[in-house]
Amino acid sequence: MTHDRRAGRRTTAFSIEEISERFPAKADLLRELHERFQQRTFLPARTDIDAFLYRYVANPAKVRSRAAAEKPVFETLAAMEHQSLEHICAEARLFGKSQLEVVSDAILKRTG
Amino acid sequence: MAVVVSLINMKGGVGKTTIAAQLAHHADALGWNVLAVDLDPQSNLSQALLGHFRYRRHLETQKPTIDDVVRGYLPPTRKRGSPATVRVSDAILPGIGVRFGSVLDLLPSQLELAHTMKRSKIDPQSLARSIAEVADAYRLILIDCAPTESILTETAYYASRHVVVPVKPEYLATIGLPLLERSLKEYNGANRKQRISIAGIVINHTTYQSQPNPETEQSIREVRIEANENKWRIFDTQIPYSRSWPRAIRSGNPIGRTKHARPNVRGSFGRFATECFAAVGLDGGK
Repeated sequence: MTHDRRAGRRTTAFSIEEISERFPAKADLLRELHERFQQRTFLPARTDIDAFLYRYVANPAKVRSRAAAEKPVFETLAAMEHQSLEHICAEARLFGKSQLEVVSDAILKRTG
Repeated sequence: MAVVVSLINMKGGVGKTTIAAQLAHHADALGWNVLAVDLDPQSNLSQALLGHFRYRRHLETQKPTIDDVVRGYLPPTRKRGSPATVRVSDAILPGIGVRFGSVLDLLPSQLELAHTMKRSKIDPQSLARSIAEVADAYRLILIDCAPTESILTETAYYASRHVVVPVKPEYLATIGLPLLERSLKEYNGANRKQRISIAGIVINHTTYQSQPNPETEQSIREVRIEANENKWRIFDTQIPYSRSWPRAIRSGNPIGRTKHARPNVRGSFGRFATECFAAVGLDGGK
């Protein structure tokens, strides 16, 4: 058990190593996302986590804090298909960067 | 069988795409099978619903878009040695909404549609024929039209039963209404078998101010006069201006799930959506 100070209650322990061992084919991607999660460059706010779980989980429980969300988020990611996980990772790598030029390049490449 | 609703105003920047995206999310949240059709070469509805990352990925995969559907074939490419047939179902992206189990599908657009318009004659009935192939699978089909009158507007008319007209309470945003009236009259005169009607005008981007704004009030008054003359309904609910609208578009979220969106903004859109759906013969329940 770990202690979630903001929520003031105990949460179930989470270990990225344990989840990576269970899903070895996805371990690198899961570790990368976990590192980004800790650096707040992946799902930086609780509302982003809510949106993520709303999109990928049927009837998601309301998360009380980022710390408490770690387990459901990474369980959800681990259960995804490899390609979906790759897409999420690729999107996370773009955090904080402007997409204007990248999108316009893609549009022009397609139409050129 | 779906009800097909187009969002049209000859003026740009009045909120057609924002309202189309939000209505699509709202219908998705109700569990209605909904198809959003992006009939604007600017592809803003596609970008709003998919977000920049998924839209870019979609372009890179070279999947068909509405451009191929209205052109009626897939052109030869490096990989494809000859033209190929295309069905609308090949171009539809399923379940792109923000919720788990989303039933919001998208027929995306691309800039090439502008070139197709310029270089060749689009058959304005092509979209209607394509929608007929899939209409049974949906309860609501929303078409986001390009501003200005063009062959694409006629293309939307052929496919539509209802038109919703977003209007901003500003002079330049309201003078397109008589143009729309004339355009629809001409269309109805030439297509007597079809019934297309204006479900309503929605006044968008109103502001809450303690002091009345004479320009806004005059614009709304003029819209009411024009609507009365043509027996068009104006929806009771006005959509207020909010900084949350562009945030909702950027994040690809429904306004109800957009960070810091005020309850009055969320509530007013919900009321408008209910009113709008009732006006086109759709009401609550699955």
